[in-house]
Amino acid sequence: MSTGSWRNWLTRLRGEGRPRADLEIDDEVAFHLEMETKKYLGQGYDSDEAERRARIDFGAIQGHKEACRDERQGNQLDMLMQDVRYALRTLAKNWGFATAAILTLALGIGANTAIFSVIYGVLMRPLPYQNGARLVLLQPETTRGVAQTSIPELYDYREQVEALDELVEYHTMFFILLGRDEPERVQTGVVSDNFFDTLGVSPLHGRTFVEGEDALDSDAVLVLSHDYWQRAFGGDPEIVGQVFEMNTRPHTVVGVLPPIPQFPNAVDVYMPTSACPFRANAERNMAGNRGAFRNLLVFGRLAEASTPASADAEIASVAGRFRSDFPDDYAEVDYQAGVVDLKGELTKNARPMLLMLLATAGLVLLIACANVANLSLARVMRRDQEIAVRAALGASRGRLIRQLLTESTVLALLGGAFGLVFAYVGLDMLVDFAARYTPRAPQISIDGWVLAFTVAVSFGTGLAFGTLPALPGTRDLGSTMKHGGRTTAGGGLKLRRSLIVLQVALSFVMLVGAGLSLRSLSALQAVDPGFDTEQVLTARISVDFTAYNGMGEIHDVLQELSRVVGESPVVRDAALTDNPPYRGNNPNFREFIIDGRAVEETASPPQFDRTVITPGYFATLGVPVLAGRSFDHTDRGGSTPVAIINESLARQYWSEESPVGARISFDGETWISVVGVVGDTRLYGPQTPVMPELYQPFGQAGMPTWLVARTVGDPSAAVRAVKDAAHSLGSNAISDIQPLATLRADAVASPRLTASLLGVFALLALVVTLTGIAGVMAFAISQRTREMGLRLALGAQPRGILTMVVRQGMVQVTLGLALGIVGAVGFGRVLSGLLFEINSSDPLTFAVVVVTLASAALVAIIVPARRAVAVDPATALRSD
Amino acid sequence: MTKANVDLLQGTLDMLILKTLQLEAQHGWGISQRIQQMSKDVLQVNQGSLYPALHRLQRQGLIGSEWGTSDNNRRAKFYSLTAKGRTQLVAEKANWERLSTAVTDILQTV
Repeated sequence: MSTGSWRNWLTRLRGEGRPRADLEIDDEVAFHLEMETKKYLGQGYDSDEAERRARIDFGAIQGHKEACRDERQGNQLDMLMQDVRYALRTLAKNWGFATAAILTLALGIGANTAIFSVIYGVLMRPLPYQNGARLVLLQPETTRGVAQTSIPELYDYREQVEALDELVEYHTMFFILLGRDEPERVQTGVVSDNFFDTLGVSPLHGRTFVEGEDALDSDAVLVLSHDYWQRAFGGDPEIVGQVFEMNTRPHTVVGVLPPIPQFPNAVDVYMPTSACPFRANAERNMAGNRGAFRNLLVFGRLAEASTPASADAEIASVAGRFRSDFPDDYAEVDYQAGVVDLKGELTKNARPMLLMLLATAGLVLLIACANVANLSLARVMRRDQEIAVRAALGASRGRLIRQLLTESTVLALLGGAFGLVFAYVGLDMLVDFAARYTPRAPQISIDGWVLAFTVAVSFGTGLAFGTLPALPGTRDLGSTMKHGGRTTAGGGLKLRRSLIVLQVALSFVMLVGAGLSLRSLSALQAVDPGFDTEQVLTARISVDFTAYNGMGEIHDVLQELSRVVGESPVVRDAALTDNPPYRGNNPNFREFIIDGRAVEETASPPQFDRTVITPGYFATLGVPVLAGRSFDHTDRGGSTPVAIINESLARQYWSEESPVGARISFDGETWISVVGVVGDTRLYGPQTPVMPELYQPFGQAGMPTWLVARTVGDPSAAVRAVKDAAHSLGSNAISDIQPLATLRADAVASPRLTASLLGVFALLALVVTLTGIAGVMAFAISQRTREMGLRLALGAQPRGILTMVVRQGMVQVTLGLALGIVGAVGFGRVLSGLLFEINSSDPLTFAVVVVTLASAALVAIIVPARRAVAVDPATALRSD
Repeated sequence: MTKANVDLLQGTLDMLILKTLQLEAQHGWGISQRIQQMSKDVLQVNQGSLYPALHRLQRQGLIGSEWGTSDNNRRAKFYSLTAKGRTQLVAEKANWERLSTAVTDILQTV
């Protein structure tokens, strides 16, 4: 389109002036009339008569102009604009209907837009690494589960696998970074020098690592993650070149990363493998040890022309060669390896949850569509006469359908616009939610693709709910004209009743989904953790290993730290543990033997989870000592080895006698006396069952680096005091300081969010459905006012009529419920993986939802039905 | 009036318009006069069909238009055949001849 005709089009859009083409037709017609008049003048008529004849010959000028306009090219657009204007006028006149419809649609479309933006950002958007699509993750497996790769294995893979042109390593460590206000624990990614080049990540400032920087004894350098740079240095671009001390060496910052998702964990800084003392030592001393530093996660980039499948096959065959070349190293573990697609690995935790949410949001939209279709049907039926008149005046059937579809599309687009606002408002909550499942969450936003999705969904929605009412609306116009619109409009009503059945069924499914997740959530929250979560602070102590000589000194400093914190006036008790509650670690099972009991060959040996603690632990957490004693300061390295077990472990292996005084051993040489029994605790969150637990005192085992402190008042108020106490003892970092209550709430945060999302969606569905039912009932009754009047006049009891109307309404509700039960059983199965201690076909939930939905529907039916019997028969009979 | 009839008449008018434009460009009034003249006043062109037909043909790319000056120095819109229009005229003419022969044959059958 040229600029001129665009302007022309815009002019028309604004409804100002008249298009040039129209003016041209005027000129053309004027010329024709002039010529015609001239002709008649030539035949001897006077000028008035000649003009009159010319006009008669020409016919209805305006009609011809319209016809010309219809033939012209821009005409489709014209008609569309005309339809849109007409639609807007009609909607403005029926603002009640329009508001209800737009709001309903906005909720439906908004929910879908929000969920889609998450799905697009997490599952569909390409990885923000340049080579994102070509990246794979090496996945070794042994009989013990998913394993990691050792240094010699990595070197062998690098040498032997041709399908991958780069193989880079990654592992995380924490180190203490000195040079800022406080010693700081920094989570560190230790990587190959070509790690970022392989991923295809360019630095935001400075540079990433260069070749040779991972060679042993090269200078230590750091690259900061975007998040840490913002958090610790306020995004200062001058950071490049600054030097900090870590592991008693200077480390120079050489670059800053852009904001990218970090897999598998977000870390603060990255260093080349040469800068990690543990990794470097392992490399120096590995001497033929195949398992040297089996800590590495290996990323690979597919070589040109190779596929994930070919890389997988090659890795598998090299792994097979390891088994045959080094039978001693791999004899017992059945080592296997392959590759998985990195993008799939980044998002696999989020996928089922997101798809479930999308399905739910889709149901909401379906219900919204059904409802708006219902509302429009009612309007179309009321507009039968208007439509019949327009048809009689020459509007074609196609034109009328198009008009109705334009109306529904305009509604849907307006709904989509508002839906976008809703989606935008709710997005932050969803991003937090997604962050619990995938590192890609920060990439979620409402961008062009999401907008395109919203527009497409809006159009689809408009067509979906517009087609239904359009069909009966243009059918059988003759009879409508004849009856003066007084027919009972049977066909449309039948359609509307089927829509009600559908809505009730879908709402039922969603209410059951929400009910199940709510029941599951309350079951989770009701779980007794076995320890106090109020007024307890937990924190991670990061000892600067390189600053002390030997384990003895480290033990002393940890003990001292716990003592200093315990003496603070805001702290009642303090203790150390290696297994802090709710910190996402997993049970660590060990086998043991019981003194005096024969080990049966076939039976699996006793197993338990072990936690190493200091004496104040049980008092600090409020765990009751049920038998025997707690630890005290006489239980230390060198004294008689002692242990305390929990109730579950006691019940499992000492059901009849008291375990206090029994002796157990891991190796059959060192015997440990059980001195007490304590209450059960759920250290791993409410979802994990109570573990058989054995506690050992610090000094006789392990190294507890977590602090637990019972505070005098609000635990958050004690954070400063705990920090100061920790820092008074040299360059140790204290981090992750959090009240136990917060962590406990956090442990059920994702089920809580799931339940609230499902709950909100289900409530939406319920409200929308109820208004739909009430609307259909009110309409059906208004159509039958005369019939009701007649029945009343003939002596029917109002009660009887009320019962009849209600019974008719409840038929659809019952059908919907029946259909809904079938659907909900299916939906429950999808949900079952997310449920805690609740069966997916939990009869109580189903029963409550049936009763709730049925009674709410009954109210929605009775309210309009009462109006039906309140009519005065005389008025009703006279009504049209 | 059934749809088939309309189509036939419309198509015929379109062909006649193309024919009148075969030799030279002409304005709407001129076209109507030409058709009347050439048919020896048998065919009266309805203006209500003529102008929409002209716009339709133009949309189909069979004729073009341009504002010019008429014989008596008046501004008028002149229509002329495009290359596509010429091809179309040949085809329609052949079509018409086949059709009219066929109709004549039927009518002459005793």
